[in-house]
Amino acid sequence: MSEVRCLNCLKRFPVLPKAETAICPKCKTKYRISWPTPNQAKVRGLA
Amino acid sequence: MVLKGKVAYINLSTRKLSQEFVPARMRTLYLGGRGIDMYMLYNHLKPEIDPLSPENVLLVGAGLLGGIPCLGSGRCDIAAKSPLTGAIGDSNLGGFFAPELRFTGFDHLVITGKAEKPVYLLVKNDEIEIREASHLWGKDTFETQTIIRKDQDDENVKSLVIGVAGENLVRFANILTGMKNSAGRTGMGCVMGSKNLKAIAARGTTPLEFAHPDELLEYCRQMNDMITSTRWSKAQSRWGTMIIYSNTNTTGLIRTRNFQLNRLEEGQDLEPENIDRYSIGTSGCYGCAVHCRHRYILREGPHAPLYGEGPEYTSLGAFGTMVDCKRMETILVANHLVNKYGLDTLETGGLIAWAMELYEKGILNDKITNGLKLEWGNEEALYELISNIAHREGFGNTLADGFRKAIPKIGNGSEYYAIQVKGMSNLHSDERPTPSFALGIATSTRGADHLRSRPAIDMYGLPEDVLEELYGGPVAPDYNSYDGKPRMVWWQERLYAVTDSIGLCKFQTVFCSVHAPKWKEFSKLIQLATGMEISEAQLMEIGERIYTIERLFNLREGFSRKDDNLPERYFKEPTQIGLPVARNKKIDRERFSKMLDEYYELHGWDNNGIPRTDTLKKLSLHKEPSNLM
Repeated sequence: MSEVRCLNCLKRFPVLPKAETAICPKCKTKYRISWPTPNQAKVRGLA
Repeated sequence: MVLKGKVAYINLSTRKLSQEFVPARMRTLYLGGRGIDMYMLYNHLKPEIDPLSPENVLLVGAGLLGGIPCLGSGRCDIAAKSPLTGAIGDSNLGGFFAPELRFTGFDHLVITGKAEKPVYLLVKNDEIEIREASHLWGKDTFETQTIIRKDQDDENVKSLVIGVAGENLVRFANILTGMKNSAGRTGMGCVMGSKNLKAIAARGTTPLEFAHPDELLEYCRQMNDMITSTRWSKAQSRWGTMIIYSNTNTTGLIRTRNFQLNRLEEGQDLEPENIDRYSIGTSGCYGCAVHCRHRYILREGPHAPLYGEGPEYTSLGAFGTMVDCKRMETILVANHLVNKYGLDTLETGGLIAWAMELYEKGILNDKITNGLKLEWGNEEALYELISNIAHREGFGNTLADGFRKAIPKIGNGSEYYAIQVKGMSNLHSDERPTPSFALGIATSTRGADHLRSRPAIDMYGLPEDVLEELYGGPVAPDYNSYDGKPRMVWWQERLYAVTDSIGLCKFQTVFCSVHAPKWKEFSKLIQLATGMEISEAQLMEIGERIYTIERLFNLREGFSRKDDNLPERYFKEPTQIGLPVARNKKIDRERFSKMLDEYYELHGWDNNGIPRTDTLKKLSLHKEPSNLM
């Protein structure tokens, strides 16, 4: 499963495939997600 | 052999040409590219000359590994005394020119004097010709390259060219090759213009002979796999350096409205995904598998049809966040204009953002701006001012001289709002939450700059043991911290100095990925390509030598510790918005000063930033200038 890094607390956490949003389990910051490749998630902005 | 590259000395005043092989000792001390350029600049340039005089020396240098089949090996270094800052002028561009130059048999060009009339240089397989260029004068950067190719009846001629900005001696004019690869920083295009030199064209067919070609090819394949497997590289290959915007703007690390805010609210249209609306594919530089630039077309709107390449992350800031323009289309148009006119995108955007803030504060008014309404987000004013700067028309003429000359001319407290160091505009990054980045822009030898030392991996919160192993000493993993950050900057300075000297792309080194190539891989590549055995420790020492000779140059020109500083606003105004990690942050003056002390000590410089005698001896710099070349 692809991971992203929280931009606030820097914790890495997994993102479900094709997910459009994700929440950092540590600091609860919610992000919009995009996919440069089908297997690589990246933070797009705040949700 | 790849080490048989020559240096050509070209005097445009006397039209005298001479050439010699690059001495082997120079290779072991400075490698090539930026390293040898810096050595020659320190040796050939008389102190305190006017950068626009014929006495200035323009250096063009291909890297020691330029032309190998990996790692973006098409980088070319251009150097001179900067007309923008009066300090080191040095800029580095990708594309295809540097390998082509090497294929002619030349690795370095040393250009002095001033031509009576516009000329261009044609470097063709061991021969150099000074050719008349009145038919090129006044042409934009794209037209100029096309005409030279037609003149030569050869589509494979690669040229470094200036646009009208360079002709008009705009102090931050760039040198361009292709549609977007530019030596943007420090005004090297202005130096070309001052010499009446419109272009340098190269066409070579001499193959590079490597010491261990089969092993080199196999190792380059491994390097390409190593690079393209990093998360950074995969993302970069999809959206270029624009990819950085999502993270920095979300966090609150982007200068907005010059320096008033640290995030562009409602800036979604600038997200890199939106380039897909205009992109017709991607393209890359010589020897690079990443392909980080988009080729884009505007098919509709007042500026259509328009073709361009890029834009880089820098242009998102220069013509987006800093001037509060929120449309991707604005970025694409402005990016096209600066490339066409031959302007540094960063300096142009930085100066216009400054002018907009001065306009808002009433320091500038319609009378001074010749009726130009420099309001935030006014994209038509942005386009017009870009053109005015390039043509030195109206208020653009004031900005065309850069911060150092524009500040006293405008006066009225305008200096406080100028986000510059040593006379050069900073990137649109906001370094108040990141002391390592702040130290880097303050100490960079060419003025505020992210490409001289930025430890971008500081943003990742990497484990302490990983950082300690990489940097050779303790470094705090928290990017808000000041602890150990001078060590990061010092290490990255040396890595980038070596990267620029072997002629590889620093984006494919430890810039944004800790897994990317560094000393060990460089050492191996040099051995396979040239046969030279240079250890990792020796490479670090070479990096130190290059950075120190740049320091010596600046000291000779009157720069000192007082110039290794930040704009006042970094110390006085805390960030307003963004995630908690970036909010309410400013640089602590006392801790900044301590970082500077530590940074000097790591270099072996005294508290005033002057290299100590033992440091100079250790680096074989105690007898410079020695004029070995």
